[in-house]
Amino acid sequence: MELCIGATRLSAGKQTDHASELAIVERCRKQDYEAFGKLVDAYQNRVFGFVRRMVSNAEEAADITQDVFIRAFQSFGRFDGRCSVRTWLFRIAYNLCIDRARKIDRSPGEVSLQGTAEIDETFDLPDGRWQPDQIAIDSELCAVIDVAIASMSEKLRSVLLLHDKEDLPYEEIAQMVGVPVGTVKSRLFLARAHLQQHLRNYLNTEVAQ
Amino acid sequence: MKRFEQDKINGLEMRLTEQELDKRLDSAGQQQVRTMLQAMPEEPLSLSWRSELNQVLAAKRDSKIRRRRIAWFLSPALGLGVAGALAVVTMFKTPEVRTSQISGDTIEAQLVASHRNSIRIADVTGVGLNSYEVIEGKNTSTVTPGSDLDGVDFGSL
Repeated sequence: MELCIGATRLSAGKQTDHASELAIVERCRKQDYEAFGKLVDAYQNRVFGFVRRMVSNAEEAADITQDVFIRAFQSFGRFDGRCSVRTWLFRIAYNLCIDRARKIDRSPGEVSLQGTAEIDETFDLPDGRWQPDQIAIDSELCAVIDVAIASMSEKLRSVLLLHDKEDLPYEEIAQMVGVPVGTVKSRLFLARAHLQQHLRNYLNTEVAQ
Repeated sequence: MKRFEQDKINGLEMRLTEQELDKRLDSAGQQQVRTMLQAMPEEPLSLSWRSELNQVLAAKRDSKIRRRRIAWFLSPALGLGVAGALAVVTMFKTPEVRTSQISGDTIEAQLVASHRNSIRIADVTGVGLNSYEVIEGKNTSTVTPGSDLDGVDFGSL
């Protein structure tokens, strides 16, 4: 996702324009309200997408997203620039989601992972929607994926979203979550396997109908 | 359930080396899941959410500016206050005479004793007589009225 903001182009995706981002970061450090607004424009939907899937309640997710940006604005002076702004924002978002989960102390319908580790084959899908080059996925399938993600534990869910959805590298996720890189990979593998299992069940039901 | 999941993760880590895990993660099935997730649409936030955030950020910024202004006024005042207090303390402080106790028969002790002695003598006898004379005078007979010198006619000399 790329956004054009004024004369500068700020990317929130893979092709991050580092020079313009650095300039904006520098302005944000000086508490430039306008520059911070540009950062919010660039990342608000991505951060919200992550938080939305982490907490499942839309209103609460919006509040947490707001909190992410407020905290970022207040503590921009402490941002050392060792990681990208995107990683930093996701780190704040992740910490807030974990804090919230600890407060609630809930265990969201974690499903059994029995057998999922053995799944390693590709889908044999009759449906054209499964083609990797297909960008649009219909709302029904999105809902199924969202349910599958919500049924995972926070450990698996956060790694899956940060790596596969937000495209963060293993090392940064490991640092963020506080586990070794190997554990991140194991969690990612299990999360994907769980999602595969869930989708297979859904497709089998569809075909049966 | 959580324990079971943790066991599963640990078991997977122990069973597979990192290369094997990488290989599995790069398999077509796993990559398909990744592609699907990346293709998932993003839910946009409402304009009211954004305006609410702007209000909160503006309020935070204003309070920060206010705090900075207050600090700008307060810090010199505080500095002046501290400096004044220090000045008062320094001015009204009475000088303390520190004496050091020197004991024993060292040269320093003897010097101090001699100095104190001379001061005492000066207090008693006044200026014009040194300590040597006083100490000598203790051993010799003092000049008293009605001595041999009474009859001497100093005028004829």
